Amino acid sequence: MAEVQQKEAQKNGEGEAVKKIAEAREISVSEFFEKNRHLLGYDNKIKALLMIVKEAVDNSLDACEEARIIPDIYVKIEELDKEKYKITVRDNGPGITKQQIPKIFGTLLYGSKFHRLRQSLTADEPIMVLAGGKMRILPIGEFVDSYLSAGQEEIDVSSLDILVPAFDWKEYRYAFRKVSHLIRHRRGNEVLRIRTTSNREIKVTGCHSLFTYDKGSKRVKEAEARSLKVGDALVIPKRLPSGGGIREINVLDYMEWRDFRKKGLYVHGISKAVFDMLLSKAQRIHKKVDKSRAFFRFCRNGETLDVSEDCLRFCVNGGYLPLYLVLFAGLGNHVKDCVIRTYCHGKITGMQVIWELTPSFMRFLGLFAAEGHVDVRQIGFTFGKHEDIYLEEIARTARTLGANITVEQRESSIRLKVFGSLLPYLMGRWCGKGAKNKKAPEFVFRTSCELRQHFLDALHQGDGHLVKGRNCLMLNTISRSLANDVMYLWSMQGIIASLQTRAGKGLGRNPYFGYVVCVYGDNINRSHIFRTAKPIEPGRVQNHLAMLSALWSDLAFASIKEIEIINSGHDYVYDISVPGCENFVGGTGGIACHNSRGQQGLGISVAVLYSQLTTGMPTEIVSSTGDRQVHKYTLKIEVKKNAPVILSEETANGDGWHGVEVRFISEGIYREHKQSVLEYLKETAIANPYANVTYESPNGRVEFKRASATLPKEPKEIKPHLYGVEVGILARMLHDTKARSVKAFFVTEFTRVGGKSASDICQKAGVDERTGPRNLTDEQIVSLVKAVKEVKLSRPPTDVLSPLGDKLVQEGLKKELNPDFVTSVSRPPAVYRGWPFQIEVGMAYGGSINEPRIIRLANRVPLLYQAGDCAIIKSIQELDWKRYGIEAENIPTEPIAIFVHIASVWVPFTSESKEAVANYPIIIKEIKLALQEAARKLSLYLSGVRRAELQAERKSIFERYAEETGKSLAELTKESADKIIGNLKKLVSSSVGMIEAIEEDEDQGEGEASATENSGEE
Amino acid sequence: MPNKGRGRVMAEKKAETRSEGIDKLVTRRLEEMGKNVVSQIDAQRNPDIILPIRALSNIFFDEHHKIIKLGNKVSHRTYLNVAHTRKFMQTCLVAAECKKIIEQNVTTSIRDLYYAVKRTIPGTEENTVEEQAESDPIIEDIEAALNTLREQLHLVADRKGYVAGPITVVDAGDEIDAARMGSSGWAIPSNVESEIIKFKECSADYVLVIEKDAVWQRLNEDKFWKKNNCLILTGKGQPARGTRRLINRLHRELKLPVYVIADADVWGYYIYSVIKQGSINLSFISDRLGTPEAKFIGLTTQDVNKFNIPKNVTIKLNKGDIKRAQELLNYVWFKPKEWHQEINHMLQVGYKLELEALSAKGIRFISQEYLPQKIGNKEFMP
Repeated sequence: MAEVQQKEAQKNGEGEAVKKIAEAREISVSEFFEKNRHLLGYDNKIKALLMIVKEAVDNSLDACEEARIIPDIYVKIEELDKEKYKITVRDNGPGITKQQIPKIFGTLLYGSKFHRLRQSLTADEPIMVLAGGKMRILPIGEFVDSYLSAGQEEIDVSSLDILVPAFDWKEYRYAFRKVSHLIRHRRGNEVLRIRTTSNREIKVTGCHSLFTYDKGSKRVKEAEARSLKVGDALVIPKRLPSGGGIREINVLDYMEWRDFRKKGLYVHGISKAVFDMLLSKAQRIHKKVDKSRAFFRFCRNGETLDVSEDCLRFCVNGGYLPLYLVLFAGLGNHVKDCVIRTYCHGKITGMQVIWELTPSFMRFLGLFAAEGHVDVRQIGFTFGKHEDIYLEEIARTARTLGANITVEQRESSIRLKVFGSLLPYLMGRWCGKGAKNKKAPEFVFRTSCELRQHFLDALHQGDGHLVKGRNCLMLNTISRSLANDVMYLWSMQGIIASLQTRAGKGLGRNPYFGYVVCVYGDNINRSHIFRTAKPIEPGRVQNHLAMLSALWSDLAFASIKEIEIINSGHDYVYDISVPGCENFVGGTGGIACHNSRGQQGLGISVAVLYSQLTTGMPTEIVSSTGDRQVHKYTLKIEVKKNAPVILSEETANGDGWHGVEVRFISEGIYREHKQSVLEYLKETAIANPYANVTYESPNGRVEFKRASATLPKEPKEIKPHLYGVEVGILARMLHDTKARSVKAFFVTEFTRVGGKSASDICQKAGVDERTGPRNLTDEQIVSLVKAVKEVKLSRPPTDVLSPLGDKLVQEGLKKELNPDFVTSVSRPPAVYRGWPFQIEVGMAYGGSINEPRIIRLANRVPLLYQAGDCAIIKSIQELDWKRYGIEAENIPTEPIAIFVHIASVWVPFTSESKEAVANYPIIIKEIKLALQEAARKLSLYLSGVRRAELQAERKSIFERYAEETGKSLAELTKESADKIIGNLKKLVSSSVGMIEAIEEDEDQGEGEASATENSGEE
Repeated sequence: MPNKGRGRVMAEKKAETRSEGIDKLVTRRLEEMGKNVVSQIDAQRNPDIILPIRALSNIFFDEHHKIIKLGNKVSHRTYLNVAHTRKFMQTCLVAAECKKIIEQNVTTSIRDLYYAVKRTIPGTEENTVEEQAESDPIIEDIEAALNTLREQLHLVADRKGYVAGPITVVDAGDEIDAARMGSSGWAIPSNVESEIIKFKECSADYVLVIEKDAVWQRLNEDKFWKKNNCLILTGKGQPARGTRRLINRLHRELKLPVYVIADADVWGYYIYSVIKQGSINLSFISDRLGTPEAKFIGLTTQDVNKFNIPKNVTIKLNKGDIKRAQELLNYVWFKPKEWHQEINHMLQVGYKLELEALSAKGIRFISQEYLPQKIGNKEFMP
């Protein structure tokens, strides 16, 4: 960089440029940009030039199409200096006004990845996540790291159904919403530890936003952590959403198959269908050559498990399976009615797979979390003498769980032991092992408020007490995770609890460090057991905040007590992205955290920033709306304020031209290789044959002429389609909907669902169509999703998509590639995750196509990079090209141009640089179907061509040898050579058509005419 | 092996002994073949030449005469078949050339013939024949199709075999004593028919056919033939048809027993079988080339134990050996149980050995111990 600066200085002879650059660079934004270019698509100077052109051209095409103007695009690249270019892109669109400039060129920081990447939590901050059907409160670092590979900074998890509680901006209600990205990066800023009066605490980077209350506008707004002061109000969740209100659990969900190898535990009562399913997935193998014993090999995520056939045969006959195999094969949901059996002292003991969450079981867990400990074979509860009232309760519950108990009286305590083969294991998994690692079982978060309260009550009975004098229900624990869990649990009960820490001398040498969770006043009455008559004491909560809290539906406010700056440690910081709501809950005790908006692509603003950062030059925008006034603006992005600044403005008289011309001066390297501006424009011209693209490159002028004067149909916005909607999404939509009944929900929230279809779905699922959307159980939601597949719904409306149509596809290919043959296939619209999409494939062969070429397009925009990750390439690779008589090594090796266009209201890209289509099975399937059809058409053409070629080759062979044969025959017979040759040639030309048939008859005989024996004789 | 000999026209004076009749007959057959093709062309039918199939699928083992004979399956070589066209042209070309040679009454080598028919096809870069390996099988095709012999087409192959021992022959009028040929022996000509080679005198008791020239030289140096009163003869590997014909004649006309020694490997065994029963390729003249009464002395892998040959001179069987051994087991003429025993033994012990391996027991072991013992005790393989 310094080199470039120096060169600049020498060239200009003065320090002007250097100064400009220095100005643009003084901010850490530039540093950030340097580090994250690859995410934005500006990895190298060659690509940067292309990206600038691409953003500008894409913008121009969009603008023209929106205004239904047939586009004329002019692109010019001039070399100003070494690695310094002026890029001009002009269109004939509607033009922009000064007011629109900030909107179009200034969205860079707000809502872009650029913004998002800067704000983060430290690794140890807990967040609340519902992933894989389980609710967890775990450190964000641990959570994000488990998805990211080493060195990876970001991952798109939109397909994984990871949900976090987030509030919406209309009603401020918390619901579980989907996470789209997980992000990890090196810390670049200071870290702040912010603590509220109730000891809720969060560590965030200084630039990370939290939410505060703006007294002026009386609104909740986001505020950078570093701008917060002690005494400011911080938004905390008043009520967190419940995780589904489950009433039973499948204990198999909490078991790890490895823990049960050779444990002698079996699942009994397995149906034939389950065995069939299990064995159909297994592979039958022999481990030794002599093939004496057969094994079934089961595979899961690359792991394999071999079970001998004999063993399985016993199992099938007996209707049981070893527990570890059930776990390994993930049969949990298919053996719900079964019993887990083991043999204890020769006695069979059994245990249901599904456990009902009863109040007594919840209490059992609560008491265990408070007083219990776990051993290898038993769990133990230690009570004080005065607590013996719980003995009986535990004993009773333990017996219903199929366990045995013993009671041991000690001097000042009573030790109750519960034996049962699985109970110690499960309790350890659920409640943690050891007092310091205690936690609340996962399902407590997902069960109903009522049952959750039973858990909390028992926990408080065991480890807490009601302090009458202070009107406070306290819980003491030395487990940080349990204290935090309890804070969140209370939030789910709609109670704001407060957290305190307490240090003491402790027993022996080690100091005691504990946590106290307190619930005050009226809130105590939420409990089934503890009661108080007094309201919250005045002064306990600041009045204005308490009043405020009452006004906001699911939000509450807490006053900041302390802000501490931490400059060391925390090498990595983390963030998650929740599209739409842009917030989540994290921190100790629970604090609302802001995150950024997910956005498809970054737009032209990055191009402005890139040129500004590399050359220090502003971007020029010339625009006219066709009113004979041409405005010229120079624009820069003020990085500190995250806003574009118009540096100068001129107005001149125009000739009636309307449109926009953008001029960048940027660093770059110009090349005309495979992924170049030239290729990009060529592919753009193919995909947009109605556009005229003129390109003045440093190497000369190229014109991609328009081949059609019709624009494709305009896309419309639509609601999602039911096909392709998954359980998680449906559950969330059910929760969020305004509809009062399931039937109304289907009709109003989805496209192409009428009253009858909606009723059909409900009927097939066995769900009363009048049920309230939020009252559905998980099972009902699952059966609704299943029922959707049985009901025939109309395809999503095609007018929402903007396909090119066969005519345009073929015209585009013809005009730029001039092929011998061209064909195209348009698939009917299909649906992924509720979004309709449509695949179009074009195939062109021969002509001026010299080598195989793949043109990938998403919504008519060429995709040039990251081909390896793209669903389009994957589909092409998976196709068996040889079946269609096309030579291929993964991709065809013949001179074929393959054109694949995915049109969708929401194209699933693998990353924000919009360069590869994500690998959704349905998308791959659709692409492959289209490719197959096009390949069939091509192969028909090719077989015609090849037959003719072959025929011609045959004829030439027959003719080639006619002379020699004829002459020899003449010598042998003394007849006229000319006559023989003439006759032979006549024969050849008259019978070429029949030849194939003749050859087929004869081939077998002559194959052996010569000796095949390798006897080595002369 | 295909004849890569540096042949030149053997400018022979007219052999008075050659039968004019045979020439006429052969010429007529060649003409007939041509006329047949031409008439088909005239009739605008796809011309074809009928050829006997010379492959394993069309030979049978004549149990009575104990030789391999050609069956009656034929193949059609047609012009209008891209796979055949070139060969069809070559067949006509070679046939015409043979006719020319016979008419000129000269004899040429098969390599000469190759050059005689080789020319570039006008308008292409292709030659009528690219290499001799292409023209040689065509000659055999014609031999078989016209039921004639190569010699009757005035074609000869290179000489390859040598004889030494108490025999005197008249070769094209010159008297030759094979006992006085020094270290090189008498080179067996390509054509040993009685018109050319006449046996004048022979006092030998038997003929010893040796696969390898090096071993032949050893025995010649030791004057083995003198001590044992025999003829020693080598074909230098797979014997040429002249050599085989000579063995046949020595047996038929002089009633000499024929003994063969070869390497103890599949190729050695097969060489023996070719001497004895004829080959698949030339099955149409097995009765002239095969000597069904020939006996195999050795080597066999079973000799290793019998003669205490050190194991370290044996060679491990490779994949090709094993595959070929299994093929041999399927040939009818390897049916005698001794052969099955031997081949299975070889497969079982997994090694083979060369004749030269006997030198491990001393340089003269073969001539002073091995052969005298085997022949003396008549330890033969059938």
